[in-house]
Amino acid sequence: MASNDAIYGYDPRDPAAPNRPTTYGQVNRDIIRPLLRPTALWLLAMAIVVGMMVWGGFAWYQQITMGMGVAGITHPVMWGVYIVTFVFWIGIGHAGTLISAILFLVYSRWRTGVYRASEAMTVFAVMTALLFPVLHLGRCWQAYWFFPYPNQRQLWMNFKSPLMWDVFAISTYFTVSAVFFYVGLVPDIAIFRDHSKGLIRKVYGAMALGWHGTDRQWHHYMAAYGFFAAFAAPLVLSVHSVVSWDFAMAPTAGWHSTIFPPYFVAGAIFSGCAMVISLLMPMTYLFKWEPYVNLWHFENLAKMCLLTSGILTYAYGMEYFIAWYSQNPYEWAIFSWRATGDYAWAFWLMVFCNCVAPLVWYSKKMRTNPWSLFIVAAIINVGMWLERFNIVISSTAHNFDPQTWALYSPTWVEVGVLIGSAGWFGTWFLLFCKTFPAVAITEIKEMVAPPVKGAGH
Amino acid sequence: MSHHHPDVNTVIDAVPGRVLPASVSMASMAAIAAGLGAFAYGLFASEGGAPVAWGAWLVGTIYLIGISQGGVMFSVIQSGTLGRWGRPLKRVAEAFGLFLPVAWVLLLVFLVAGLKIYPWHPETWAHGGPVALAPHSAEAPASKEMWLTPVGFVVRNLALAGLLFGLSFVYLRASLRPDLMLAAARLGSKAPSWWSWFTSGGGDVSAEVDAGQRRQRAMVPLMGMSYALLMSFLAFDLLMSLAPWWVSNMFGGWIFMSSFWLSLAFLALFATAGLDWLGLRGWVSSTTTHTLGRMMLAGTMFWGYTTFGQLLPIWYTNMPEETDYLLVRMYLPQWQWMSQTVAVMCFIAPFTMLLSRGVKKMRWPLAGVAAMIAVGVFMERTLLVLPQTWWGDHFPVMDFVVVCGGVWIGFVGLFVQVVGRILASMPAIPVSDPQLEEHPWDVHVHAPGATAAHH
Repeated sequence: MASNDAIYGYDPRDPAAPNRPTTYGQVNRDIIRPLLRPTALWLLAMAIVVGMMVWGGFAWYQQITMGMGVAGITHPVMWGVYIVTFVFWIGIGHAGTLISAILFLVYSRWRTGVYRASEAMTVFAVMTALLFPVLHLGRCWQAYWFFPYPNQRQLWMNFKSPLMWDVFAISTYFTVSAVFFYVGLVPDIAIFRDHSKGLIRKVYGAMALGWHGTDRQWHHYMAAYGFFAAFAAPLVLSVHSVVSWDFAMAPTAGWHSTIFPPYFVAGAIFSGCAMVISLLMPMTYLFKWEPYVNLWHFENLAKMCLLTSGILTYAYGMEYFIAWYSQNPYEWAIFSWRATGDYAWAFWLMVFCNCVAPLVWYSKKMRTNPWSLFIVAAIINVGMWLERFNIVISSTAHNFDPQTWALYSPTWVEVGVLIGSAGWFGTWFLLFCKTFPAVAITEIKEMVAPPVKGAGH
Repeated sequence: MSHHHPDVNTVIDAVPGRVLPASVSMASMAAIAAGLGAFAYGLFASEGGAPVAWGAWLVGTIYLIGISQGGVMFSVIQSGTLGRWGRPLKRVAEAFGLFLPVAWVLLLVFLVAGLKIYPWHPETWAHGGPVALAPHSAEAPASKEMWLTPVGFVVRNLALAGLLFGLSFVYLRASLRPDLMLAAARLGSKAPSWWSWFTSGGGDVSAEVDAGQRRQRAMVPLMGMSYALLMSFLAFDLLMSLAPWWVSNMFGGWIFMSSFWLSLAFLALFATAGLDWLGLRGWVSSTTTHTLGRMMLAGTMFWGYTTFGQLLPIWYTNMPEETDYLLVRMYLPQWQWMSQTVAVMCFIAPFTMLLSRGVKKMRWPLAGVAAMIAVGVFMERTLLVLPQTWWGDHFPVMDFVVVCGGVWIGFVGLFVQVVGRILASMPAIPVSDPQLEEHPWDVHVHAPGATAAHH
């Protein structure tokens, strides 16, 4: 088994794994510990993300009071940073359900340590993404127009528009992801309830829904969890496919592409897995979760990124080949312009970030090096934002009529909102890590030897 | 050895003297003869003539390339993911891969003799002569005139297929070598002579086992990229260029993913039919077929997803240069029934049936669904090819049934004959593979009440 040991070297089930948890009690203590008292580092992190959020809020306030003119969007580029960032955050929201549901269905062991934080990331990322259609509206107080509701004039939204499909796809995805997330949390919240006192105990008690870990409850829990996993898995594919159709349904050159659905889904998983690495690496060191979240998990996430990076590279290549092979002058013009025109810097930076930089992870040494993992994951996050920038901006800036061509650059308001969205996301995530178990206690225990008499439980 | 599996030595000892069962051999030879007869009828006597006959040959060739290369990828995925559930099926899948040289010859024959079915060929059989490939505007690249030339097309496709098949052979050698060395050491002079292609220059078996595992894992990324890229270009050239002005940039991905799915269906058929003959009983459990069924279900859903993913943007945008490809297949009466049948056999029926855990766990019901997928994919590939090689108002049903069906049966017969003979003469499971057994850390011993003791 020598070759296997080398691969499974970081698996917590490995008797030789460093800091391997030995008892259920130790698992409880280790994972509850971060909730006891905020450390200076946690407070500093909170101060930074709240500061970013406040800046974003101020930028939005400027837009509400001054009008959409403070944003850089103008004819012909009417979809700017807001839509780019919307697609980016929707993409980030993919990895959680992928790791949680799909890896659960394929019996993958390494999901255990990271799935809870990934699910939280999904829910918060989708909450962040949902801000952007509202921001992009301008008159955000009329956002309820997105939804079908009875009204006197019998006016309905345009159900034939892919943008409307998006509303329903994302709402469904958000609802199912949130319920799936909460169902998984229930047994762990019960552990928190049992370890807390006073009002906090009552709050956790209410949230634990009467969980006592009886056989009957576990039976229902496992059935529900399996059902939600199977239900959520197709949604991972569907939601970003529908987002991709926001573009692919238009006859716009550079957008009308049949490969968009799987290409967008792969890109979403790619960016989501990179974001999990970016978030969990500092958290692991901040909260001392090494026995539960360690290089074994990060290496597997890096492998997921390698796979999806390969799919993206394939898709980029196919787009160019077919644009050339089709002899469609409009398609070829836009793809040529992306690589050589005013936004070529963004295109080539995207290629570097998404296709070239991840290649270092083909070396095991590099994908098990914390610095390499952290830096390349950050590069991927930048690259995936740029990918959406390339798609959204270039095709609208150079559309069919050369008389209307114009360039777009974001204003400080749009950049402020972009940074504010990261602050909004980070605030939710840090609060979650301080309030709920960000590592799944019950599933970690399945990897620890069961308690036996005299084992010191 | 494992508590759950029989001794691997019984698998090795079963090899000498094992032959393809007479009934299977006779049936597959009869299928080959029928295929040749159908092809000759198509070529010389049918209403469709050479374009339909060579179209049927192209369908069969693409079909068998898909199964064979998909089998290699099944093995590659098992290596890359350290998957254990499918290890007992790995050798059967690899035997599919050993058919690739025959598939290359079938492709060669088509490219030499059947190239005129392409409407861009200067001497095409298409009604109305060759399609003009010149760009419609000065701003468009003159790509088609450059890409779609007879010599370039033949050389490119033989080279692409040769490269992919060559890489597959290198991978298969890394997998087969330690097994065959181990088996040869046990069988001595009873070992088949062709094993020496794989075992020559061998040394210590345990060192070869480690080296084989390392080589297989090292080749996983290369095999994945080569399969996706080279199969895509084969699909663009061999299938999509039949309609030279129609493009879909998901077409390549659609073909290579559905080829893998088709290979899973054939794996289910071979594992079911050959369970006792190949000594797989005791290795292939209901859990194995359940997981294989889940993969087939995933493949079915992915086929539906990628098919709809191409259909919807084309339908919605409604541009004539894109919709004509669909209109011909979905609305013309001579093809409409086939596209509707494909939708049922490739998605609606298998999706519904494979949702059942029972169907996935029982071998024969799963084989039934697999057979339906196998026929469905044949019809789907036919639907891609035949509307481009037959231009009449009403497609003669006999031409389809006799020529297309007959040639396909012949190709399947050839595949069964060749792969059956290969499987008969080697251990049907990867006997030296360390992943054949359950991982020791995956074996849980639960104390009574351990679940309730979670917290």
